[in-house]
Amino acid sequence: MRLFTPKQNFRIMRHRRITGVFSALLVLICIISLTIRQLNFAVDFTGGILVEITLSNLVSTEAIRTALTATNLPDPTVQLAEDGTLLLRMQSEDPASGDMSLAAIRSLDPEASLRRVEYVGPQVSSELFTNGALALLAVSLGIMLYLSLRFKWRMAIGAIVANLHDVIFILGAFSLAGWEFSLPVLAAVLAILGYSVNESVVIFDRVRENLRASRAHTAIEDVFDASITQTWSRTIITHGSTQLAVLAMLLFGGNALFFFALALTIGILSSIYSSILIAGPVALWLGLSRQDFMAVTKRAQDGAVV
Amino acid sequence: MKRYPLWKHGLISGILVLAALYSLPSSYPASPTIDIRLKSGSEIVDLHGRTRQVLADADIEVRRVNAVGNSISIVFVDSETQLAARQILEIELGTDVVVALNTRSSAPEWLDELGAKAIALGLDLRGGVSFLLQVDLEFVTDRFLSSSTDIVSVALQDRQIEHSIKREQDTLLIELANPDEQRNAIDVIARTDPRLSVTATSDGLSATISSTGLEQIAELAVGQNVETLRRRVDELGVAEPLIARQGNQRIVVQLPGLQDTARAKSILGRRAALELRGVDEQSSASGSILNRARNGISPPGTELLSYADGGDVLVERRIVLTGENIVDASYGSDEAGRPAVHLALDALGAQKIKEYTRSRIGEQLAIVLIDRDRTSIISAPRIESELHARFLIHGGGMGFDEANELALLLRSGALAAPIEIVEERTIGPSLGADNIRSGLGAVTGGFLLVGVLIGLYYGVFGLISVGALIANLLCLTALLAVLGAGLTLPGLAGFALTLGMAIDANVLINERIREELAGGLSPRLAVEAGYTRAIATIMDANLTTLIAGLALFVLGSGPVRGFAVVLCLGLVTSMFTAVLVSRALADLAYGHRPGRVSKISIG
Repeated sequence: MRLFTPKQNFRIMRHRRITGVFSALLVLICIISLTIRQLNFAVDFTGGILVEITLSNLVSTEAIRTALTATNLPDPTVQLAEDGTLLLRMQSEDPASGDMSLAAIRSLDPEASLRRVEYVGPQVSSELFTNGALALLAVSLGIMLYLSLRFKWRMAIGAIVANLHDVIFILGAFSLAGWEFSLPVLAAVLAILGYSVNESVVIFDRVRENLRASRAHTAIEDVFDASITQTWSRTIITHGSTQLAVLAMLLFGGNALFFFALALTIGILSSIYSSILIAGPVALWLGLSRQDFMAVTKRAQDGAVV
Repeated sequence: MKRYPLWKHGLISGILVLAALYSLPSSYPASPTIDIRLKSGSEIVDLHGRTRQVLADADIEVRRVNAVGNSISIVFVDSETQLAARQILEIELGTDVVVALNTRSSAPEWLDELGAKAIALGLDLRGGVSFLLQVDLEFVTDRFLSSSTDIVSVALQDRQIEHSIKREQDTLLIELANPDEQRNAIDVIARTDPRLSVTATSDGLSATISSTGLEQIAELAVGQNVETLRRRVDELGVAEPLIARQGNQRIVVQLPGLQDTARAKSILGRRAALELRGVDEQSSASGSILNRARNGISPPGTELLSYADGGDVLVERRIVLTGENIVDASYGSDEAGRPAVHLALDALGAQKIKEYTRSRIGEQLAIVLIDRDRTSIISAPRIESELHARFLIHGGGMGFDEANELALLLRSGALAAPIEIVEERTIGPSLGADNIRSGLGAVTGGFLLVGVLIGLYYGVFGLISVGALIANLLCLTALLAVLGAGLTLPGLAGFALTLGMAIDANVLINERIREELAGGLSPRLAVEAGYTRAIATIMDANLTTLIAGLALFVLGSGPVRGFAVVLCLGLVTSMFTAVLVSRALADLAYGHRPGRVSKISIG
């Protein structure tokens, strides 16, 4: 079966001004949203307490509020779903608040069962935040280092920009939609950082190989187009199979894995987009030319594959 | 295509057979189990034999009994038998053992003997509580500095060095009457406690805790707290608890299956210490002295304490006995049927109390409880006769529940420093079960979707890739089971993701083979070239993901770490299966045909 082997080369690079403006706009929207709306951080990063309780019979939100206020709990946000799932969030620094709110709810509904309690103290939440930011930085630096060893600087920067685009895009989507940003979502973002760089690497390897094989008057844009076309089948199958696994998480993974899988989905789509429409154009914009590949090194010969 | 040598086939199939064997126990359903283990510090002769005897006498059907040292695990047919057995075992085996409900893979015994275990499940899958506790190190250094003030002063006095000493926050300031003695004084202090670092000042000396001293003090306090917590966790009766230090001032406590978190919190973090001290009856009898004491001026060597049920009295500061000398405490009732705690002392404690009470018959002895930072007197009975190693305490409005909890806290000993819960994650049993369902759904769904796509798309080579994927599934399961790292829901997500990403290597290889075929190579050479040339790209792909995985592992906490572990292990196993296993399969499919292979099926 061959579904993704185009007969003619894509013609993408010639329109890179238009796609560039489009990408820049998207990134701008993400950044604006991240500055104004910011992220809807989960209890992991804000500290406080989250209690999830399954109610066995119908209790009104009002009754729940009254019961909680009576126990002097600090102003909880109450979220009651149709299926009787009750979510309470409190900005409390007392781990006992969870037990107290469960007791308060049980006074209304003795059959209420506890699903989960997450209490994160202020020290821990700020540590989780710092460590998360550090991890993001460490992975970005690690990948930059790897790319700078692997490619000429113009290509390396192109790939890095594409990579950062993916991160901003996931964060921006979470910010715009107001989805909860938790530790697992952060893990998904980091996994995407490691995963998406690969796409640019495959295309760039092919560009390098094709440039050496091509005639001197072939435009570098055409070489990029040819390379993208040749790797297209692999791109679709690889991302398709990863996306199928992620799709299974979205479908069967329940609430717990939903946002994790959603972050991965956005990341996978974004990485296809950015490796084609950002990595190459940025490298060309930085002045990447045929001359950059005149000196043939041993590493380049070995590395040029697929 | 060069043929794969026989030894390579042998090695690869050997590894795969092992992987299949070690992932087998994880496929069996869990059976109800009871875990029995000795409490820390207890000893019992032939626990194993006794347990078997108790079960046999009670005529309880048992599927299997496993014993490793002093921990025993009994597998039952159903949970009714399990619950019945627990009741009998708890009564018959006494308070020196923990009898806890658990579940365990029902895999046959021979697998167990091979050391093949089922994958351990993390708390978010089996339900339970995880606490992160922070030890109050300020309290510890504060206590160290105040005791150092006394110790240093005594040491200097012994050497006839005239001085005055006062404490200013974290520093001891020592003024010397004779400045010539400075060097001498430094030596004395340094020898008294090497954890103090002493420097000369214009009019004397200043001493602070050195940085290594601080480490030692913290280390000791956290270590002692871990021991106390271990004993307290024993009292909660959970199977497979985890108590471990994390960093220099934190302790992780994981209690699988525990539901009553409020009780766990009250017991784990409770500061409870018992002291026996004499009552200063003479001073207490005088209204004026008592009144002055109420205004904050107690006679030297005494302290005003209140009774738990009202009233106050002057108590000597000198401590006759502390909870450290208590070897056992149990709750029950006194002759009058009132709730009481029965205490048993060690030899030293018995000696101390005997000597003290012998000469003081008729006097009052205060039983002082320091609980949750509140000091109060439970009771102050008159000494009727010389006390020995065993006696009981009652009063203070203590009910049976309070007596039970006090006995428990006394048995487990006091915490060396206060602890605070800085993180708690509780997963109810229904959510645990849901999480397992979600995680397994994601893994099987992912596997089937990816397998069908690849199988259809690449023909025989697609089937080969699916074979590699199955091998990956087995290897990763076996590795996780053998390493014993608890599998979490993010871990299962990592599992699903790994399956999707691992296929990338096969896609790279298959696409390359197609291209080489299109480029005019013969099928055998194309396969050969496909495998060798795709390797560099596969390495690239895995390297970048590995960078992310390692950073996640180092900087991530709890759930994220579980994801990182599976992601990194999955990369390693997929390198093996996607390249070597699939190559071996390709060799089996095409390598044995004599002569030229004219056509291969690669979609």
